[in-house]
Amino acid sequence: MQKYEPGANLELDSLLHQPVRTKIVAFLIARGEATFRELKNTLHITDGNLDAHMRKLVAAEYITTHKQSGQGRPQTTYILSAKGESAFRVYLDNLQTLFNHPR
Amino acid sequence: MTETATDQLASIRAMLDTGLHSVRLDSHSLIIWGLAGGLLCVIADIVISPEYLPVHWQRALAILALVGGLLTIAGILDYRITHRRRRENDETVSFVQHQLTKVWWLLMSLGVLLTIGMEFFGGGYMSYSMWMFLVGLALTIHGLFSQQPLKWYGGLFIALAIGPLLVQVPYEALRWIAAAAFGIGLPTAGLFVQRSRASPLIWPLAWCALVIAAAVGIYTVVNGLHEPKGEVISLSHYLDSSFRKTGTQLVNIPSGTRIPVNINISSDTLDTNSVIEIPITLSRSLDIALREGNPIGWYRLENGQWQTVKSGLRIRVRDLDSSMDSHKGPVISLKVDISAAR
Repeated sequence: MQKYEPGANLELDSLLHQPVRTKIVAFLIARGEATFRELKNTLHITDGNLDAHMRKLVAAEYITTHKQSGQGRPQTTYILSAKGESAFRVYLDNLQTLFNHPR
Repeated sequence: MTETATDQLASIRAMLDTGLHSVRLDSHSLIIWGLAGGLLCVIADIVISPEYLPVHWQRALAILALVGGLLTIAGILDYRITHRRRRENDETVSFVQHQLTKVWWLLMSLGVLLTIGMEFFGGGYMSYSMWMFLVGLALTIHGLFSQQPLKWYGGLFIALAIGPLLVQVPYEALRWIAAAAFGIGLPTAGLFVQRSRASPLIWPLAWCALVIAAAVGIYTVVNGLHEPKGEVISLSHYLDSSFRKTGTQLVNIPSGTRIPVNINISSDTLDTNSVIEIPITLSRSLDIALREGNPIGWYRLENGQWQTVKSGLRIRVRDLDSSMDSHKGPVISLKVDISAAR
C-alpha cells in the first residue's frame, strides 16, 4: 500500500473510478474470463451501457478480447490484461489509503 | 470522498465475491458421474472377483482397466459436454471451476489408487465408503466456491460414507448404499439443489431419505432373490454315501463339529513345504448352502438370517507377537479374530 503523506493528492484512475467499470474489472479479476452475456447478467445493465464501458476498457488495453472458434458458434470472451490488473491494484491501494485517511 | 471510497470498496468486494463463487455443477455432470459410479458399484464386485481373477495383480489391473477406464470416460464426457453447453449459452467456465475440475480428477485418481492398494494390503470392507467420502469431499469443495448449496450434499455424502462403517453394516449393504448414492442420489441432486435455495435444510434431508430408502429397498430385494431356500438336511445325512450330492443343498453343521483349517503360508524366511492344519471346533450350529457339492458363500448361524461370506465373515489379525521361551527358543504368537455373526 502506498505510504500516505498528509496533504498529498492521491490520483484515482479516472477510467476505473466509475462504478460500472470498477465492477467489471473486479469481476474479471476473480473469475478469470467472462462473456458479454455473463457480464450483463451479473451487472444488470443494458447491452448499450455495457458495450460503451467495455469499449473504453479495451481501448485502454485494460481488457483483452479472445475470439474462440471451432465447434458451435464463435464465442468472444474478455480477460483482464496484465496492465489492467496492475492498474486495478494501484487503484485499490489508493482507494484503501483514502479510506484509511479521510480528508 | 470517504463515502465514495466506502461505496467503491464495498462494490469491489461484492464483485470479487461473485466472481469467486462462480462454480456451477450442471445436472449433466451429476448424471454422468452418478451413473458411472452406480454402474461400477453394481458390476465391479461381480467382474473383479477371486472367482475370475484369482491373483492379486490380475485384480489390480482389472481395477485399473474397469474403474479407471470408466471414470476416465466419464471425465472426458463431462468435460466436453460442460464446455459445449457453456458455449451454447454464451458462458465461460471460470478459473476456479477449471481448478476444481482438476481437484475432482485428482480425488477420483486417488480413489482408484486406494482401491488397487486395498487388493494388496486389505481394508476392502471400506472401499465403498472411501469412494463416497471422496465424492462427498469433492462436492463440499465445490460448494465452497459456488452459489449452489452443494456443501450440504457433500456433507451428507460423507455422513453416508462414515455412518454405516460406525455401525458395521454388512459389506453388501454398503455396496447398495453406494450404488443408490451414486446411481440415484447424484443424478437427482441437481433437482434437489435447485429447491434447496429456498429451504436449505428440508431438501437435503429429503434427498438423504430418498437415497437411504432406495438402498434399503434394493438390498432387501436383491438379498431376498438370492437367499437360499429349501429344506435343511443334517451333515450326517449329506455325508451318507447313498445321498446324491447334486443341485443345491442346505446342510446343517451342528455345534461341536471339528473343522480342519488348512493354512498355506508363503514366505521368504520360513520353510513352507507343508500345509499346516489347525482343527477348530464350532461353538454354534451353522447352516451352509452347497451347489454340486461346493459351498456357494451363503450361511446362517443358529437359524438366524442367511448372509453371504462377503457380507458376514470377517477375519482380522489382531496381534502378531514374538518372544523367546527359555526352553523352547523363539516363539511367534498370532491372534486372529474370526467373526461370522451380523
